[in-house]
Amino acid sequence: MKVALFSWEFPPKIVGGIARHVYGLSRALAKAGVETLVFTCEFPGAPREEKVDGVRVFRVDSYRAPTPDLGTWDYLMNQCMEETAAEILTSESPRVDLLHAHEWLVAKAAIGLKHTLRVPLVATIHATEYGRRNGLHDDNERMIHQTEHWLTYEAWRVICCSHYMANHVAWLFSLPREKIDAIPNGVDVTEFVGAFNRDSFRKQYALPEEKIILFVGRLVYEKGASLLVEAMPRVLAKTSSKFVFIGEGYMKEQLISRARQLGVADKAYFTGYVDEKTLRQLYRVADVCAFPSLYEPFGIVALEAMAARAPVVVSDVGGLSEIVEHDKTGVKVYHDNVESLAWGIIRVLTDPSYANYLRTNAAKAVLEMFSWNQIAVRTKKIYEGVREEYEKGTWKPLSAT
Amino acid sequence: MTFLHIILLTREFPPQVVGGLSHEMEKLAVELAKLGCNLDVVTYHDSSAVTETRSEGFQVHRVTNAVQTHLNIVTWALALNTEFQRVAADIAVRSADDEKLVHASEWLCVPAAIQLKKTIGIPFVLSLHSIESERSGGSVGPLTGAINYLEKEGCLESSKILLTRKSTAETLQKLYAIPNDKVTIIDLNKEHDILNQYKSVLQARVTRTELTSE
Repeated sequence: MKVALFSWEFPPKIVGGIARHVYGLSRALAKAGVETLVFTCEFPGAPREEKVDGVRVFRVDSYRAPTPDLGTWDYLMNQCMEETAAEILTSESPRVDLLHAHEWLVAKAAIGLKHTLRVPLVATIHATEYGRRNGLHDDNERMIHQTEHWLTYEAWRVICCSHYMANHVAWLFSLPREKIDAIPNGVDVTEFVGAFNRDSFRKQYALPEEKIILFVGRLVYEKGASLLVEAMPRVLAKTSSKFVFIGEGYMKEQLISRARQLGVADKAYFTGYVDEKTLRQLYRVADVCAFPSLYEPFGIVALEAMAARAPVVVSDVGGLSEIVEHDKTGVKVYHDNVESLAWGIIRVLTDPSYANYLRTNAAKAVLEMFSWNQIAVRTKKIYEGVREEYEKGTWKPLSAT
Repeated sequence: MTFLHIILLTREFPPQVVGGLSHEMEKLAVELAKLGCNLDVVTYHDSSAVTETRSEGFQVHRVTNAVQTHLNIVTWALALNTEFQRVAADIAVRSADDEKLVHASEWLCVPAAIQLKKTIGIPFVLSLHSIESERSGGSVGPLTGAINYLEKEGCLESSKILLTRKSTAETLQKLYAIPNDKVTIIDLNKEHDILNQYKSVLQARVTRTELTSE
C-alpha cells in the first residue's frame, strides 16, 4: 500500500504537535510495510527531497507569493503543495492508494487531489478552532472552522486522538460518530533513556530533600496551573516539595503573584520554556507530574511523563481521562478541585511503593498502547478498511474507468 | 471517433451576473454548442448548486463554495476552485473517450485548470479580459501580489492565452515575460475563431506526442 501524508510541519520544521505526530506515525507506517510519502512545507537548510527512516519527504516551496495573512498564505501554500504532489504522484508507478491529511492547514491540497486523482482521503483532526478559541469570534476563526468542517466532510474516515475529541468533532461538525476513529497519540520511549547525572541535574531545580512536582504546559486557564498553585499549601503541609512549572502563558504573572500571597513563592519555580533534552530529563527526575487541565483534547504531556517513568496525577477530563487508568497507571482527581488534586499528589509522594507500582504499570501501558508501532498498525487497518470499501465502489480514477 | 469536449470554467454565468463576463460566457457556450462542441460549463452559484441541461445542447454545473466565510477573494477563489476540480474531474471520467480541453476564464479559474492539467492531463487555454495590474492601478499590496502570482501561473501553465486587447498582451509580456506566440488576440464575438484556437492546442499536443514517440 502506498500512502501520501500531508502536514504543514515536519521536522526540522516544528511549530506545534503535528510535526512530532506525523514524524512518529510516518516512520512507523514505513516500518509496518506501508510505502509512505510526506508532503510538507520547506524549511531553511532542510533538503527539498529526502528519505527519513524509509519515509520519502517532499518539501514544498511555500512562499511563492506575498500574502496579507496566515489564512491566505495557507490557502496559497496548499495550491503549491497540490501542484508539487500532483507532479510526483502522477509520475510514479504504482499510483498512490490513499491520501491522509493532518489538520485544516492542508485541507485544500488534499481535497483537491482526492477529486482529481480520485483516491480516498483520510483526515486526522488534532484539535479544532472552536476548542482552541473557546468559540468562534471573527472571520478568520470562522474560515478555519469551516475549512475543518469541509475536510471532515470530504474525508472517507476521520481520526481523532481521543474518544473525547471524536465526540467533540462529531458534535461540532454534525458528523456521524461512526465515521470517526479514536487512535491515541504516540510516544517514543527511546527518547527517555540514556545516562545523565541525575543529582547535578536535579540540583538546578530543587534541594536534595525536596520532592519535585512537575507541571508542563502553557500557563493558561484551561491547563489548570492555577489549581496547582492553590494546592501548594496543602501539599507542603505534608511533604517537603518543590513545584516546577515548565511553560509560558498569559497567566504566569498572576500565578507567581498568587504563590506569593499564599506564602509559598519560594517553593514554586517558573522556568519558562525549556529545550527538549532538558524537558525529558526533568520528567525523569520528577517525583510526580501533575496535569490538572480543565480542557484537554489529548494530553501528550501525561504520556511523555509515563514514558519517562514518572507517576502522574491528572484531572479526569478529555483525553487525560482516557490515557490514565486510575489507581493503575496514574491517579485521576476530580475536575477543577484543589482538594482532590492535593490529595492525589500527597498520595503518590507519601507512598513510594504505590508510586513505583504506578510507574511500572504506566511504562508497560505506554509500550502496549501508545507506541508508534501500535498506532501505525491501527492506522494501517483503517487504511485497509477504506481501500476495501473503495475497491467495491464505482468511484475510480480516469485511467481505471 | 473522438469528440472535442470543452470544459468551460467561469466564475459567473447567468443567472449569476457580476460584470459583463457572465453574458459573454453564455453567448460563447451557446455558439460553441451550435458549432458541434461537447460542452460543460462549470460555474459558481451561491444558492442553487445544481446541474442544468440547456436546450442549446450543453450542461451548466453550478457549485457553491464549501467554505462560506473568507478573508478575501483569494481564499474564496482557491476554495471554490477545488469544487470546480471535483465537478470537472467527474465530467472527465464520464467522457473518457473525448478529446478534452479546459477553457479557464480569468485568474479566478486558474487554480483548478492547473490541477486538472497536472493530475488528469487536460490542457487549458486561459482567457483574460483584463489583468490584475490593469485593475489595481499598479498596487503592490500583498493581496494584489497573490492574485498576480495566480495570474502568472495561469499564463505559464496554459497552452494558449486568449486576450481581447493588444495592450494587455504587451503588459503581460512586460510583467510575466510571456512569449508572444502563446498569446492570441481574439474577438469574443467570433466563436469560430475561438474554436479554432482550441483545435490548434489539441493538434499541437497530438503533434508533440507523435514527435516524442518517434
